[in-house]
Amino acid sequence: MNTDSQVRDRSSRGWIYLAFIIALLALIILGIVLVHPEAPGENAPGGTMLLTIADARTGSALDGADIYVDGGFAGATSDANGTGTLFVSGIQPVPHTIRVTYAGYRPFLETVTTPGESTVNISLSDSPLVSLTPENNNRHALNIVFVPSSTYFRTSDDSVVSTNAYTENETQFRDDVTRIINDTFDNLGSVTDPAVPLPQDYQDRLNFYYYFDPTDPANAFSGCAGTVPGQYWDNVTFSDLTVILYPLYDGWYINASDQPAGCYENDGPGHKLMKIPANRENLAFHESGHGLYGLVDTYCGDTEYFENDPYPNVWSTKEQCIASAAASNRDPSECREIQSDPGDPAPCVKNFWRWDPDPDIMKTGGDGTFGAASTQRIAYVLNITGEEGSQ
Amino acid sequence: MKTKRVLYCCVCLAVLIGFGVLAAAPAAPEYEKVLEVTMKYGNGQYSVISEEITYGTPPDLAVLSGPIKGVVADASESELESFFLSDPGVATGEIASGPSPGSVAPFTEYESSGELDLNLPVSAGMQTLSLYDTRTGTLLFSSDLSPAFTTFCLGYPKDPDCLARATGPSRTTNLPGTLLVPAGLLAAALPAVGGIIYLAKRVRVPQLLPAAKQTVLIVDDSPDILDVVSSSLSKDGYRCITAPGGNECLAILAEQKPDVILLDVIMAPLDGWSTLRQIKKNPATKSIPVLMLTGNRLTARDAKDYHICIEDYIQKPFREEEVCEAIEQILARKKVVRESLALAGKAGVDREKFCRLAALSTRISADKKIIRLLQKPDKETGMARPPDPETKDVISDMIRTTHANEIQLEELKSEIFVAFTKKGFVPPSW
Repeated sequence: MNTDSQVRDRSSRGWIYLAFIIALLALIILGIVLVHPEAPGENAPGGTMLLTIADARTGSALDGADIYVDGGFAGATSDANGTGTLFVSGIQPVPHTIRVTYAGYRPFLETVTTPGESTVNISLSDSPLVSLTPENNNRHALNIVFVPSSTYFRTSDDSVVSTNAYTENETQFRDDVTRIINDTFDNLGSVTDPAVPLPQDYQDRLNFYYYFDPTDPANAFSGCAGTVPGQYWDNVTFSDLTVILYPLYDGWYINASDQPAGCYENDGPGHKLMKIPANRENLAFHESGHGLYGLVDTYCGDTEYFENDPYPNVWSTKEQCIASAAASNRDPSECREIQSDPGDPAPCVKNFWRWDPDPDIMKTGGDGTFGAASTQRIAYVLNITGEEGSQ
Repeated sequence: MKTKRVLYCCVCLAVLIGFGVLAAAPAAPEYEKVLEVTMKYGNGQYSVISEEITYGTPPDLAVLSGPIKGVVADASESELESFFLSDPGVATGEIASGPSPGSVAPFTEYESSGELDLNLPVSAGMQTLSLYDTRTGTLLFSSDLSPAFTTFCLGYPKDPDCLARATGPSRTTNLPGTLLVPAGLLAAALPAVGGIIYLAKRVRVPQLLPAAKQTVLIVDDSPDILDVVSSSLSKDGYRCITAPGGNECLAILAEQKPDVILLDVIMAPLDGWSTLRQIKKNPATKSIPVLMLTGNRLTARDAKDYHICIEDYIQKPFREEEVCEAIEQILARKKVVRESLALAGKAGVDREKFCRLAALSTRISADKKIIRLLQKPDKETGMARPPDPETKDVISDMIRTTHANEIQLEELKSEIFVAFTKKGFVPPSW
């Protein structure tokens, strides 16, 4: 038998449940609005704009292209309204910026004014950027981009020679790039100190691309590290290291007027550049030692020395070098000042010390190995590359 | 019992809605952006050529190394991001010496001047970029990033980072799908909050915050002056902070960033000129306009040493309106520059050129005032200043410089006028 208070309780519970169902519906609508806060609403006042996206070369419609109006996501093209199209409503008669992105194509940016341009046809061009590791989903990996050079160097007459070995043969370029990646960048285990473990998945922490625009190649012999194509830095903002690859360094050192075979130049984050020849692939170890891992030359010469933090491979005082060697279980007597080899006609001494054994890749330019100090630095960079905090 | 059921309902709803909204979300849009800063360097000096925000992915800053430290900070000067660089203009190369293992012939190129490019990740809260030399502790470069954001947001007002900057100083990230998580959390939190409100049987009415006021920091060792000036400015709608000396002023500036500083010259132990030096040395405060306030005559030496650091100079005794007008003018000029800079970007005017125009305009106005003060008869005696050689030299130097600046200003003005009118924009008036 129900008492009055039980009936009141049930009635009150009913109202509470009803209130929550209404709240639930309201919140689902709110959630949808919040998920698409920037999309012009279907019922928003203003006109409608029809965007059609197609491949510039073939003219075929592109479905799944993401479209942004004034910076807000407006939707993706689909065949629901006709192939490669998207209707955007709520468009006011003022200039609007349209951004279109589609994998494998150059991003598109343009300002249009409605209602003058209520139908906008956009053609997307193939991107010159090709991923060599598309299956690698590690978005924190370091990005290394190879660019072909249209020049090589000949020591017999100290000349820079034009070549179409790569510009007319993308397959040859791609094969050379792949070989160098496999033999050097992804083969660190063969040249690093086994006592200092690298991350087991270190190859997954490196993403490789190449940038192939046969009409606008790089020039490996314009400046020490070369010059990239005119539009390269605009198209590639994310590179952690750009590698200009040229097909041949013909001959060996003859005199001081020879151009360098390999070189690294840092012009700021996103603008780190090195060059190497395809026929001396071991130089990639040395130059990427600079470019990717921040290692310093250990030969004696007119080059840049600084003590890295953390895990330097050269030290500005003997005491610090000894302390580091001891901390790494090395014999402190291995600490030696950077100086030229005995018998060198141009003796040279630098106020920097090192303890990595010879032959050291950072001294020889490619032969030998990375000692424990250099390997510690390499392992450090590869470890922080995998961290969530990195880009 | 009933209370428990209501609570269970709230929790279940929160979980369900949160999951529902997140699961229903479409593929995440991509809003990642890069700030591209191009700098010119030479003789140890760095200056900005361009700062532009574009859509794209930035490089990994964490793996960089070198003796130069870069710091990106927010409006409260908290560090958002830091990175390292090696010295620019150094290219180290190797010449192949032979097929067998051996030493290489080193090859190094040094460029004493050139361009340095920085690609940095964008976050809504970023305000300044500074570069320091860690070997000497020297500040090499500091720049306000707001104009780059203003220009970008003119073209992309619905970008989440632009919306975040427009609605407040919250720090957002540019990770894809950023909005989905707060949307899910918000949707989940609302019924829970609703339940709590229901149980508490009370509703809080949100209070509207008053519009932000412009802040003036008044620095003077006279409590009377502090009192008079702050009550006069408060009546005009300014928020006033007072400091009884130079050290207190610097302590306040470490915590807050006023829109303008009113600075007395004669104070102890740290006088106004020394305080001014500290303010202008600090990248976080150097852009704050400073108005000097003093009972003393402006000397030729002070004018020569400090005229480029000050926006105006007022002599005591002064009328209250005189101070208000001077502050109003300074802030109005700041506003015009800020607003016009965004348009200048759209009109294709080089940023450095536009900033040069703004700086010249400010400089000419302040220098003319200082020249008048140097030429002014003594307030007490009414006599003209004796033409001592130093004052004479400083005045003629300043007149010459001002004249040259005016010619340059006119050239820049006409160039920028053409660019603005071509785009249908109203040219800035100053």
